[in-house]
Amino acid sequence: MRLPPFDYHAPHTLEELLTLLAQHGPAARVMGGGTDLLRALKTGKVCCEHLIGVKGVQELGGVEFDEIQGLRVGAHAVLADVERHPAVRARYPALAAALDTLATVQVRHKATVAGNLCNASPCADTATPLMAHGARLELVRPSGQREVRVEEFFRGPGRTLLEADEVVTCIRVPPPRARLRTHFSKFSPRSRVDIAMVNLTVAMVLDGDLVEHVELFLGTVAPTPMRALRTEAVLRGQRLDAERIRAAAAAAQAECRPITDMRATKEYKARLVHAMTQRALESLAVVR
Amino acid sequence: MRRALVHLTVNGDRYCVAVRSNTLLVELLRDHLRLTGTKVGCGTGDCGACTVFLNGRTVNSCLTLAVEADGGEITTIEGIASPAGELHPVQAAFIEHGATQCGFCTPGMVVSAVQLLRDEHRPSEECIRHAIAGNLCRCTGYTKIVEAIEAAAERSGP
Amino acid sequence: MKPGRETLIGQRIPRPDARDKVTGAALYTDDLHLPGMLHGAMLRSPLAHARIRGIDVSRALALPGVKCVITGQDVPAVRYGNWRLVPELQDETALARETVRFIGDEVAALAAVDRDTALEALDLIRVDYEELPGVFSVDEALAAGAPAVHAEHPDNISLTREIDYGDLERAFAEADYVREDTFTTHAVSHAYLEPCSVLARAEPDGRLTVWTSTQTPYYIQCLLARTLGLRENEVRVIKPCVGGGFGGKMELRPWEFAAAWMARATRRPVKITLDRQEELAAGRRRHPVRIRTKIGFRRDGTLTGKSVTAHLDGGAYNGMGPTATFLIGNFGAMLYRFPAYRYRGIYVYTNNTPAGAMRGFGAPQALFAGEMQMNLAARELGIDPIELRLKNAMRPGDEIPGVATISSCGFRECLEEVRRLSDWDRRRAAPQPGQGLGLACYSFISGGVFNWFDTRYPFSSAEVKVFDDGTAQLTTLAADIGQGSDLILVQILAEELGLRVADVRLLTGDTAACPQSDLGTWGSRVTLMAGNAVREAAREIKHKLYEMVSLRLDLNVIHELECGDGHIYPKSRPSKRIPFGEVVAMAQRANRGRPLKATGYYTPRDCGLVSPAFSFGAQVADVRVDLATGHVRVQGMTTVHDCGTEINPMAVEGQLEGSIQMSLGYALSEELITERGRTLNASLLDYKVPVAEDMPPSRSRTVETYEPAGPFGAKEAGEGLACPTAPAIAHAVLEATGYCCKDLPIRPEKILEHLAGG
Repeated sequence: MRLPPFDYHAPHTLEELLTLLAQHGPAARVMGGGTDLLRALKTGKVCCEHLIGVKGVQELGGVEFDEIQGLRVGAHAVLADVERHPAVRARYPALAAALDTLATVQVRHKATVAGNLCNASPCADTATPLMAHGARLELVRPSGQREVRVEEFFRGPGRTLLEADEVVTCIRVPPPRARLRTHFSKFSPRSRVDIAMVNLTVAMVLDGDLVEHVELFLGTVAPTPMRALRTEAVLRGQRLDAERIRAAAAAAQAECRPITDMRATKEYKARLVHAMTQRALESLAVVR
Repeated sequence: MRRALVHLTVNGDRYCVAVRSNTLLVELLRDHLRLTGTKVGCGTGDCGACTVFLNGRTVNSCLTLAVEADGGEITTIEGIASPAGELHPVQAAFIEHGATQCGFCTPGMVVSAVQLLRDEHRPSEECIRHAIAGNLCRCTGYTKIVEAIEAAAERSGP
Repeated sequence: MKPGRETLIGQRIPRPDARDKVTGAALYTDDLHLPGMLHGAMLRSPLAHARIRGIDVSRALALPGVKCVITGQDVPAVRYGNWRLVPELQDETALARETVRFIGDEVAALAAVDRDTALEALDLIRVDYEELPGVFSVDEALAAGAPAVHAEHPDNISLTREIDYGDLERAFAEADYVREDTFTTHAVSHAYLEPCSVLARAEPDGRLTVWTSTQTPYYIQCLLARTLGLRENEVRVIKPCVGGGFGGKMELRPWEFAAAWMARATRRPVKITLDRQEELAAGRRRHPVRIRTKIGFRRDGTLTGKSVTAHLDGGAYNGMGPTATFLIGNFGAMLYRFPAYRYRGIYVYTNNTPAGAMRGFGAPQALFAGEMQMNLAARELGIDPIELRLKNAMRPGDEIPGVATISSCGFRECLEEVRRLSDWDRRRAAPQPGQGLGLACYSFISGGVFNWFDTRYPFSSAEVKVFDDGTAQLTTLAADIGQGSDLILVQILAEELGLRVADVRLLTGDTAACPQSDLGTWGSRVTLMAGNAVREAAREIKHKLYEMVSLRLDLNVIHELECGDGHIYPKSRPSKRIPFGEVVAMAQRANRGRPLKATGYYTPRDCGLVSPAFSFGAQVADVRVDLATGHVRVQGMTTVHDCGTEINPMAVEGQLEGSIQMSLGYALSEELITERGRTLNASLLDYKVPVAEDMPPSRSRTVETYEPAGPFGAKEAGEGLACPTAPAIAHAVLEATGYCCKDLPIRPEKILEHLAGG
């Protein structure tokens, strides 16, 4: 198991980065922390002839928050810095919770949120919390720029809608909605740092026990992290009581589309979705 | 394939090493600089035996390119004790508490423990176990490692 | 046994090699570098069963930087294996000749100027395979008309083993309660942190020096000599620091042969280090075993008899399988008094990756079956599981007819104490939903007596030299692979000679320098066997030293002498002490300057067919099951065990704590997932060993017994402890949920299925 040969480039500006990408096209890969990419190159899952590191591009770094714009996470901001940012802990606790369980300390010191999304594993732990907060990615290419919602960004396992000459410059997360309650939950066979067998994020606004607003995102149980619209419909505008919660859990179990793999059968994963949805809703119901 | 000159400081010493683009940091350390304290246990960032400090933070050197370390500062296990050979409290505690058996996980484990104690002065047991979750050990069951880290934290003062 | 002076036995002395390990100075095989060194790599079969029609290495040889490529046709067709006593069992060649028999079977090896070139060159070797049908389970292999893995064994049975005593038919006829169960266990990896590595250098005179990560330098020496066509003394094997073995590094392996061969062919040193993917996919693993077992009790819980039939999925080669086949039968008969017992063990060839010895050597499998069955019987008999054990527990002096005599045995005490320590009675009287306590017990060997390697040497040897500066040197081939045997042997010697640990220098792991022989680390043999050899050498030295002291002090013949605190003195007149070094000087002068040294040996004789001594223990697992997800969390482990005298309690604790990690994984999270011989989860991400966060709190106690066969009364402490955890957890899950796991690992899905009424 070894890294195949490639050329490594370390651009200092966004312009340089885009030029390199355009120059080398599909034979090039952009590298943030490299913890997924280098692993995939070693095992032969991925090949490329040119690796372009983004860490040298100053404007792609940083984690900032303000009450108007919300959170901006630069493309090469590492997971540890995002997780420790006071605004993330205070205002986006589901994201903080996901980051705390994502892999190990060593990986969190190097891996990036952007990389986690671009890697596009259906079990990406940052995906469902970001989706629950309506996060968007800013994408830039020589011909212009665009913003896409995280939900649209994923296209399939390992696939995003990123074009060959396009890069993520940052992730923008709007300021949280007033009275928004969120809950991130992850199930893994070993400790928290293990890869998720199922993960999910619920976001909800309650008026008393009336569900004013709800969004439920499930990870690992479909080709991409998915929104459970039918389950939401069971909850929206309803009273969040024990029976409603049970019904929502059953709906989520029916709505998810896991596959059987060497980690677990699809029936078991669906059962996990049921249990985790139920618990997530129960915990949100008691939060004051 | 391009070659590059990587300038880096390792354990306080400055080096200039010619590497290929696909040379890993752990290979630079072990093969080029003959600092063999950092180990390769898996090559995929799962076991933590290759853990080193890069610019003040622990990383898996088997998932880091040597070129990424250009201009950087590395501390390996060989640089944890003082230049005069005085052991770090973590190292002394590992010895005293029987936290090493085969010793292969020990360098990475010590480096991770040093990182933890820089971040948290009095970590709880749960915090310690979470902090070393990326360092596998097959001999000790982690018990004496956790005890040693607790003892080192206490010795390091408030 | 406990002298008046301060004793080193029972002291929590830190390991002297710890400083090197915490500073990164300790050298493991891959850390070694020699001038001109080449890097080697192994080409492995991608098919589970195939005929090799031809191999074209020309493109690999032509790659700049490649210095040597070898296939099975380039080297002598010498079969090898650890079972030299029964040559038919030696069924491996280093490189496949005509047939490959598992995915990962070594087909070729090459050496190049660097690792990258070596790996690139591997891709350039063309092998023309003709795929053959394969068998991937015991049932497939034993089915009529199944393809043969080895032509010499058309029925795919490599060997069988039988044990029979007592009248089993009568035992079952007389029983008030009989039950029969079938259990299966799965394949797991040793997952030692240090991948296998070897560095070979050919000496100018044709001899060979080989550094290798091994538990058994002596076996490697002998088998390398055999396969290379050299004399044993022409091969020198050196064991550097080893990063764990757990049974997976006790055989000659193809890369050791290949590195040695290529080093001689190129006249350059050759290093081969495996990567983790190779280790997990093609390395040795624990035998999956199917055990069908029938047991009979009287109404009051007294055992009448037991029969065990075990089928081992050995994979493509024998390896250490024959030993495991023998031992499963022995372990099935341990712990309890069985008036009648029958064992049939069948070792089956399949095209799966070959299994090998792994910590416990068949006992984890045998005890998973045996202990779960005892617990199931206890439930149906309405007898408390601990009571059921107590009723039948072995005692000192018990005999397994024709097989073994139990000398020291603290089993009953372990049971009583674990009941108390785990709060057994109170917890069981007030069961909580989703929570439960489970019990399992173990007994294990302190080294094996059977000479399957057919060594012509003593099983353990230790040379002791003493010097007039008050120091001693211990030279032995006994191999510390991380378990701490080096310190234990030094403690034993220092204790004997009245020196401090710091006064004893140790030289180990070099077949050219250390006395022949020591069989290495396996079967928990080192403390007892090498420890006894050390004591024998020490006694001889002391005899000479006492002669000098007696002469100098003109002692009455009735005086007993003693070593202590760096001096030698009459026990009744300690003030007349003489410094150790001074006495050595006297002895040397008396012998015209010749240095004082002695070599001690140990070979187990006249102690049955299995082992000179057996450890015992009982363990309780406290488990909480999430009834919605089936997730099992172990809340606590309580262990009480009898290892005789604890020479170093900190080392013993370390063995227990490590055992819990390994067997927690065995019970819950570790599994080599295979499909038609292909390992699907060959990475440490997908092969899930417990991490620090997974470990349960653990309490333990030792019960002190004194084993006459062991040095200072010591027995094994390191393998037996790896056996009870899986059945204890399975029992606890049964108590917590009603789900009875008979097929490891314990799966949350199965728990949920059971809870749902499936």
